[in-house]
Amino acid sequence: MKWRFDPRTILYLLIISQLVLFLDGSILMEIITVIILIIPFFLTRQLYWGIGISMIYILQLLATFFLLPKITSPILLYPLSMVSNGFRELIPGMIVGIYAIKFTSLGEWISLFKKWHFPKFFTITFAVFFRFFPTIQQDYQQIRNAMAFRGIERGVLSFIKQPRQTFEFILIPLLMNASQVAQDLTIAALTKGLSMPGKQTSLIQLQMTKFDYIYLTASTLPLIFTLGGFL
Amino acid sequence: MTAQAIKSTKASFQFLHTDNFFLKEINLAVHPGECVLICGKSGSGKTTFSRLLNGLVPNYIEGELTGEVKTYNLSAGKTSIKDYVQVVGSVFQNPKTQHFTANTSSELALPLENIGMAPEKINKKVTETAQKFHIEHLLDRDIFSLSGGEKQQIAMASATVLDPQVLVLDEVSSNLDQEAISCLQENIKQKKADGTTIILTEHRLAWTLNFVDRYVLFNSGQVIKEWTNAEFRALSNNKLADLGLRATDLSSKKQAIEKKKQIHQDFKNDYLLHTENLTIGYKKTTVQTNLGIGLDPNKIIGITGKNGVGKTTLANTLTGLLKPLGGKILWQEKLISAKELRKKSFLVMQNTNYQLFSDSVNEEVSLNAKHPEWKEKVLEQLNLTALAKRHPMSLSDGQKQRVAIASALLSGKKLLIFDEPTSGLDYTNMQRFGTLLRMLKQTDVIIAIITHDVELAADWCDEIIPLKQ
Amino acid sequence: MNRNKIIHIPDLISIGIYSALYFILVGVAEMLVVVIVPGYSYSYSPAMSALMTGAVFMLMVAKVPKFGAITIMGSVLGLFFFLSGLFPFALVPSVVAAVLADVVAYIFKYKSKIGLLLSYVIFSFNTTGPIIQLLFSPDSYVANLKERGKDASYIQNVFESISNYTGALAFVSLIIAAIIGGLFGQKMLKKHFIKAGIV
Repeated sequence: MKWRFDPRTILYLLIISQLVLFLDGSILMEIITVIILIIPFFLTRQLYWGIGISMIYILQLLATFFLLPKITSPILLYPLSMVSNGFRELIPGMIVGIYAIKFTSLGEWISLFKKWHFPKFFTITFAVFFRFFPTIQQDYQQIRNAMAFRGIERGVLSFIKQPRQTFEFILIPLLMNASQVAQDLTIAALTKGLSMPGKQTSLIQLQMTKFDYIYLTASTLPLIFTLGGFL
Repeated sequence: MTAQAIKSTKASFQFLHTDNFFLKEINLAVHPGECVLICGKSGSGKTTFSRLLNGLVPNYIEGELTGEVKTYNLSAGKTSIKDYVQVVGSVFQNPKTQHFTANTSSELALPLENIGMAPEKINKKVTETAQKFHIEHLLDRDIFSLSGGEKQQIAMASATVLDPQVLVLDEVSSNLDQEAISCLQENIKQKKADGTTIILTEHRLAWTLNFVDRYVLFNSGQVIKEWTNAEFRALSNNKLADLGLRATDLSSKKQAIEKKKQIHQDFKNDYLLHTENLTIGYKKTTVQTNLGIGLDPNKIIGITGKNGVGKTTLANTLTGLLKPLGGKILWQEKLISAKELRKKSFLVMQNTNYQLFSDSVNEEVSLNAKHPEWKEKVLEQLNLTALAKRHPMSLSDGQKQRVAIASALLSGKKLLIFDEPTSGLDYTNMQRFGTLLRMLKQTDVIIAIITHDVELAADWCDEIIPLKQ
Repeated sequence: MNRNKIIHIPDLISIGIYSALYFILVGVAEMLVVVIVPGYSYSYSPAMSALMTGAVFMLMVAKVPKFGAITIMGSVLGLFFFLSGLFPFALVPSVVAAVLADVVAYIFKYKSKIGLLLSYVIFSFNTTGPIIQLLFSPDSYVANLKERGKDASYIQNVFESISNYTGALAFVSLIIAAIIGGLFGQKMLKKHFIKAGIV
């Protein structure tokens, strides 16, 4: 099955996920919300994400209800409650975040920003920001290789032994290359009309589908039930 | 005579904060539909001149322009860059740093979006352009997953999606292999057939003979000479070399390479390092199997092959970054582990920016040096003594490359692999690099070169290992 | 208007690239903190970030010494935080810290070292959204324990004291880390980027 959320739906889901956190309602509301949010992973066969997050969430639930009450030592209780309880509450937001970053393209977000008349200085910067991540990853790999050839330690140990030095060795080539890319990218972008005045249009036309409406409704139900006192 | 597409009249240009004119009184006229190639050494002003044609100079890259450079009715320095957008399309040297988006279709659509074309039309235009360049299969793909050649085709399509009357191609073939160049060549011919005026700047010339109408030679910011296609074809490789230009007839070079092929033999006595039934790859992907190759300090060895055939994987395996998936690597007949190989070897990367860490050449070459006592001598040999106090990043690409080599020599490396060391180099610099190789051959360091540069392989390598699928 | 004072396309591209590097470093800092000591050590991730991002900030300001650059950087980072879904309310401190940092840098004309250091310390608060959210969100787990009939008053006391203590310490450590990180950044700028002629 191939479909994706409209970015507007994702924004709505983001807000819902936060309301769930803030209302701090019953655990049932939280569980239902998580189930509703996680279903699309399975429908689109993203089993890696679907199963992975389900497992983490279930472990956190189990820890919260069966492990935490048995622990009396504050030293243990404290970090554990953070991991199983504090971080658990972030799961709904995290799921929506994965849809937003991993399963929504830069083009779709930019299309929405243009539609909503975000200023150009923002959309352009955001586009470059998004596009640059793969470059950082590739650069980092090259730098790691270069360090190996130079016999510069690069493992975890080196960060403990001489953190400042190791950090500098990685950071400086990254920044140097970034400055170089900034110039090349500018030259190319200028010749492609990035500085043209007037409204920019979009190849990608956003279209809400049946699914979006279903999700807008479904994700709101647990909240309504909670506020209505049913859950 | 109709109006000229490009007309440069006594154009001189001086960069901001410099004292001398870089371009001097350039007169050049190009008529509509003509294809002109500007050649000349690095620093001769080709690229700067090409940037006068698309408005980048002096609008973005600042400086003082005298005289006049007109592209149709646009005048450099007087017209804003945005007015050039629909008249001139531009493609640049580095495939990795000129795409603005992460998706191929978005990249083609970008100029159309910027001029505010209606969405339905954008879609149609993107599809049409892709069909024209035969790159429909590349649409809606992650640009980062494409090869350099494919990226360059996307850049080309994106530059022409607005149907500009003029196309400026600035050293677009530098980073490409033969196959990618022929794809690009088809795309250029297509645009020429449409009547687009095309200006190229290039070091590699052989691939341009069947579509360029006129060749113009730049030297120290001046136009020195012009040839028609027929006149240029008639120039011998030697004559071109005298002018500081690369060869146009590669057939003799290709024959030479054929003769230099390393013949699978008993490597035992003649090669310091050799492999037996070596299988290379990464993670679970096997790239090459059953490799038997030999490397030795007394021979400069070239490794050639198409993009994606496994040259980089081989280099990474020989330098110990990757473990062999099977077979053996033997150093003086003894099995050598990846870890030991990593200690003994050094890869001079295509982009040496990644391998320079210090704030001066002195510091750089002394970092983890095993033989600091060799420093003076090595710097001298590599012509770096005068630069010792400079920051490595303030140096030219060739100088950076030599700093990387110096650092490898001082850390007592015994195997030096170069990754595409001459891509984007003019004839003089390529020859200079060749001389450097000869010098390194005198040492006890094994030298191997990954290259798609036919001239480098033919003129300066002793043996060639051609990798095949 | 003076051409060199307003932000152009080339500036936006630089800001975008440096923001991406900034974001990656923040991500690395948070990972480090969470991996080293799981749990509430998370509150120190802004301090760790501030320690690491100084050079990116200083280089960005040196490249684009114009009013608005820091604000745009903060807004883009904030929006990305928002979209990542983990801490959507990080958007607010991100933008506020960035605007204030921009104003401070502007007062010092983007030149004074002390001024930029101060600007950086303020900017470093842009990553505090998550911890504000965590520190001040109701201690549901304590309530939870009570519900289950456990004598939790002792534990609750411990929680509250650690919680207050953590909050104060997180912010003090952030300021100290930002000063160190900012100075390191300025040192890197001088040692590498000015010397190499990049700036």
